[in-house]
Amino acid sequence: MKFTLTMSGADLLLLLPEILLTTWLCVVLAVDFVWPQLRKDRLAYLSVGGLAVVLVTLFWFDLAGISGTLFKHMFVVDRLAIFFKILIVGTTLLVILASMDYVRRFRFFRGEYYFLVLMSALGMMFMSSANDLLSVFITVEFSTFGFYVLVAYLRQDLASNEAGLKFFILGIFAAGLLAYGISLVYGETGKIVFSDIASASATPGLVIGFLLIFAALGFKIGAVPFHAWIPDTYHGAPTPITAFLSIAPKVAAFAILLRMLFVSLATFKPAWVVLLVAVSILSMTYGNIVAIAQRNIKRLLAYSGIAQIGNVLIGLAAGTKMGSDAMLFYLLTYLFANLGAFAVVIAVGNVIRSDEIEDYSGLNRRSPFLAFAMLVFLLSLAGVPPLAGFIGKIYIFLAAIDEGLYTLIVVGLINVVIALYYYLVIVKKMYINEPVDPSPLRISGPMTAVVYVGLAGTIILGIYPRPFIDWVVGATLMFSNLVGPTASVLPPTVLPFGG
Amino acid sequence: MAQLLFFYLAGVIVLTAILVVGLRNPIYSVLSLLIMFFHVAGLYVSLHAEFLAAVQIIVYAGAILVLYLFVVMLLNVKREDRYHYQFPIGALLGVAILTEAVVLAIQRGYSEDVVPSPPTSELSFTGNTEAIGESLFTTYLLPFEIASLILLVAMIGAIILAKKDILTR
Repeated sequence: MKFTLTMSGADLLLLLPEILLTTWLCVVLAVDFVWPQLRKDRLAYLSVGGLAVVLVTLFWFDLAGISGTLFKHMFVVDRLAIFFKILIVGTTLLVILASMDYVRRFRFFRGEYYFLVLMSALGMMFMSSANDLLSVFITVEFSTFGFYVLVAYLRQDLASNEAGLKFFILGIFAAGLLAYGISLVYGETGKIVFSDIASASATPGLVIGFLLIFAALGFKIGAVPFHAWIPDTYHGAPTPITAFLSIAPKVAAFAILLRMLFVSLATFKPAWVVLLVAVSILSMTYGNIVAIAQRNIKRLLAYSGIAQIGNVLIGLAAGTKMGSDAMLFYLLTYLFANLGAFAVVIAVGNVIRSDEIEDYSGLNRRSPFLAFAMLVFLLSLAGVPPLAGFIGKIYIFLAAIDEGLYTLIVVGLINVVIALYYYLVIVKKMYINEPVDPSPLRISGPMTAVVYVGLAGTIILGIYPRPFIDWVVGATLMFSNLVGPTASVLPPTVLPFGG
Repeated sequence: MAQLLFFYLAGVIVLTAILVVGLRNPIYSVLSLLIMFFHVAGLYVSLHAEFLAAVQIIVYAGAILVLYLFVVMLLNVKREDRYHYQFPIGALLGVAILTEAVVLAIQRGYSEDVVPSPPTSELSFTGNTEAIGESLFTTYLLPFEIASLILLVAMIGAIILAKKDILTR
């Protein structure tokens, strides 16, 4: 099916997931408002139900191959956008399940919490479909607004207030950069749709404009040197929001980066590859080295997240179809492992009310299930076979080898070792050290479900990645014309390894 | 004549903008900002952007500036000398940027006549307010609708973050 501009009922179908979610979040808000006595976890299940419907719709879109553009190519629905939307909606669903116990810590506005989470998810869904500079700006701002509030949700907690303020000020600064960059690009080319900009020649204004846009998106994905907000914001924010923040906005920003680099700037590839290689090396090295010194698990995961983003950037730096496949696959593995690790942190934090790594001593005695789950997630983040992270790293390194980015791979491999060290320090604490308080930890049903989903994803992606690789390969078919100078001998759909 | 008008408007804009940051009394700063907004609106009228001029006055002069005044008056901001220590840095950056602007202006020279592009036929038949309205509700419908959602988030977020009885109850 292919739709064109004129707006009709059939065109609205392309917007169906977004329309469903918009309606649903209004329902959630209204139910919360007219029925204040309703227990808030019912509201959470209501939100999860809505997200499940949206998820089913998205899978249907993917299977039916529905695609097209709306509003003069401003809004695009293709398999790439659907892939990112599935990731975002899936993350949101798990985050809401993981929030249900944590929400009791908020003294007021527990219902609006779910509304704001859904609203941010909606913004990020629009981000995945953004296909011109105007919708990039407005959707990026839309998705960030909910987060400004969510990060500062623990109003009685000073750290949360500080996190909210820092995130807000730096976020507004990034928004300014984005707007300025967009105005320069529009001023130089007179066009805003990504594919139209592709024909532009490199004038100084255009270069500065794109650099500013990359700085703003670099802020969103939290790559060095735009990472300054990450540690404090992650530390102070309510833990489920930290989990959400560490995955969904980054995924959505990568959707925009991918389209912008591969569609608008395909002709300037040699220039941006250098840029991405530098950012990738900086992110990996800085993130991993600083992570070693962390005493707080949320800060540690924040820095390890910076390093993981450096890994994802390797795929982007490869700049080929295979690079984008590897990137998408890596994001999938990162989603399960990182969300799972945060789920364990939330579950433990709900009981012991602490996020210090020291307090994870002897976790195995207190809850063998959580300790084992954490072990699996950390090993997957480190890239140990046979878990998902291993396949993700191999895939992304192979994509980079095809392009001859050997420096990047060497740095990446060194960083795998560094990362393994600090992940194993946590493992050692959990398994070898003695607990201070050996009482068993109780975990609620929804929390257990989230941990199980994370475990299932991490193990299945590691052992049987074939269907997922087929999925990401299918999602990036639009980039199959992009082959690098050295990779052109390989047909773009050839897979590096079997399932 | 048009050039004379431009230089008058531009001159007042630059002057009042300097006063906004230069004056010690915040109320005077806000008032000079008001004068600046009106002159920017005048600049828009001279460029045949009547809609933008109206919006400039309604939104900036009408709403945002009143908000600033409220904040300044309610917070009872007194003379704040601390910020003036940044003067050397500001002066340094200002001189650097000014030099750059002058160099660029000299390089390009004044030989080219800047001819404002004539309004497209669509614009000249209907007014530009109609044209903006039409494109807002056709081509740019999506950002327009998303903006309404952003307002909803901002509204609810502001209530959550700022409602007072949360801490006292």
